[in-house]
Amino acid sequence: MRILLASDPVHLPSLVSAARSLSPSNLEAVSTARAEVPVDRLLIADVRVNDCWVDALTPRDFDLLLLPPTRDFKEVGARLAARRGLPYLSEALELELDGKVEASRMVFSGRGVERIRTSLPAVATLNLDGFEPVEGSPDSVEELKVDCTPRVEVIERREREAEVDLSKADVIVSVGRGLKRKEDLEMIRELASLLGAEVACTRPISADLKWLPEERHVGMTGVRVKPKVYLALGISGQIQHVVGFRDADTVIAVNIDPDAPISEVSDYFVVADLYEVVPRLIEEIRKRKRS
Amino acid sequence: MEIVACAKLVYDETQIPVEGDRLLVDQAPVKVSDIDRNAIEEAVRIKEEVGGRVTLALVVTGPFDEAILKEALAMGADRALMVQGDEVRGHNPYRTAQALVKAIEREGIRPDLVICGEGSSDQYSCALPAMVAEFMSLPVATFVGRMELGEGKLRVERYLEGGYEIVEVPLPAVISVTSEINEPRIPTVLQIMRAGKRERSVVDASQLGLDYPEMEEIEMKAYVRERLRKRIEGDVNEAVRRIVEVLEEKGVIP
Ligand SMILES: Cc1cc2nc3c(=O)[nH]c(=O)nc-3n(C[C@H](O)[C@H](O)[C@H](O)COP(=O)(O)OP(=O)(O)OC[C@H]3O[C@@H](n4cnc5c(N)ncnc54)[C@H](O)[C@@H]3O)c2cc1C
Repeated sequence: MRILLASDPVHLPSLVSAARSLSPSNLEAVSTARAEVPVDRLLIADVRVNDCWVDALTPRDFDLLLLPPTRDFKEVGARLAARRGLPYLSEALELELDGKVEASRMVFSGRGVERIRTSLPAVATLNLDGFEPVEGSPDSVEELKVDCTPRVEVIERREREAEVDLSKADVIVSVGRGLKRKEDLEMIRELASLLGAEVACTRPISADLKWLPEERHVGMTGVRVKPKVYLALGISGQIQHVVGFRDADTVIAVNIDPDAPISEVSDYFVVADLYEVVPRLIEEIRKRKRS
Repeated sequence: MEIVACAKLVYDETQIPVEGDRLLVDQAPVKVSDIDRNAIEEAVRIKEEVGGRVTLALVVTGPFDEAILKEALAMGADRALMVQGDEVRGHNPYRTAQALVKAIEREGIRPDLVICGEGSSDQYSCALPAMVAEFMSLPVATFVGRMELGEGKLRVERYLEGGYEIVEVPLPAVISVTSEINEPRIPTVLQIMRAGKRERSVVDASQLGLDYPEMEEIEMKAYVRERLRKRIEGDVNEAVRRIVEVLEEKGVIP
């Protein structure tokens, strides 16, 4: 079983960890920069654009090609599979190999999980939740020359260092469109800090309003979290968001609408205005901390 | 400009009944996959800006619903190309993308621009736009949250996890859009009535000579998590006390 990995250096250590759990006979990785990972061969390729990733991987030999589940690599994986006539599994969970490949996937916005079986060679982007990054030294490191004329031209690329990894947070205070103004995040931050919690949000808050960075949005297209307590403030409870906090131990929701769908998926559903609840909650917790 | 807006008719995942660990998928109504409505909207906006024609290429994965097709067309598409049959059901983006491309070719459409949603509400594998681009040998930009039409090219902003990327794509090209790109219009009753008369072709995917790797669905289960579902209503101060109690119980506050 020859497994090939293609990744940015940030996701590579977790990807290697996931690949090693499949006991490959040979493990090779292509990365854009050197990383200290235990693989048989590490190929460093100077690729800056998806077009060149696809070209770099097209001639390579593998039984299984694994990629991180990022937006860029979902494009690269799908294109490569189409070009090579191979099956493609997107955001696979629980991969198993037995001459063929089997994987679970979330479907219907997380309302269901399906199990898919297909032949090798195959291409998959892999959900990396739960794989601890591994360190080690590659047996050999080589440079990979990539002959590529990209068809799209990158004018600018801006990447921020992620400020937080919500999947590791113990307590989360999450806000949705029930929050009226960006300034009101101040009281949310204050509450979070009193609870030793991280602040999270729904997709409209990060993607449309840009009040919080993308890595704080919970859900199908965001982060999946598993805190002890998830406090959802002004969140309606659409399935695409709910799937992100399904593994929380306890969910407390505050919503002004008694019929909000989040009532069905929370342990404690508080019908109230968050603007009345949050300041009182802050006050109450402060009082307790003083005494 | 010859524009194709790709859309998928899917079971409405928010309305699938659950029985134990089973999802009763075929008891749900169908809808146009959410983000595909943004794709249709964007296609129509470009047509309104520079002229041309929009073909709504609709992959029918479950039962067909005439009212929903009409509503989608009424957003401003000029005609519909429907691809249906067993081959476009279930999960195999390779097969679906190939069916779509072959159907477009068979209709003699040579698009300047193909616009798709970033991913579908049922599968969200985000693979189709990338695969369509490969099968058509066209350049592609995925996860586009903003775009601007230039001379023979598009300048787009790709929304990525930790930031963004601005790229220029020469036309013809394939674009996948995110839901942030626009607010899909709601057509009026009159527009919907008129849309019924628009030209349409129906292609049966089994007639397209598809050749694809098999993917077998061996199981599908509902993913549910039981919750206490306790309701706290009435006096706010009392509600706050209850929240504090729960937080204490869970060891979040001393
Ligand atoms: C393919 C796809 C993927 C998606 N992925 C994600 C995802 O990963 N994560 C995600 O979050 N969303 C995602 N979405 C969007 C999702 O469908 C919902 O639109 C979104 O989660 C709704 O966010 P919200 O609850 O903040 O807003 P709304 O649905 O507008 O809800 C706001 C809620 O606030 C309540 N409220 C208003 N005022 C107050 C007040 N003063 N006090 C208390 N409550 C108040 C209202 O009653 C309402 O219930 C996705 C959508 C699609 C189509």
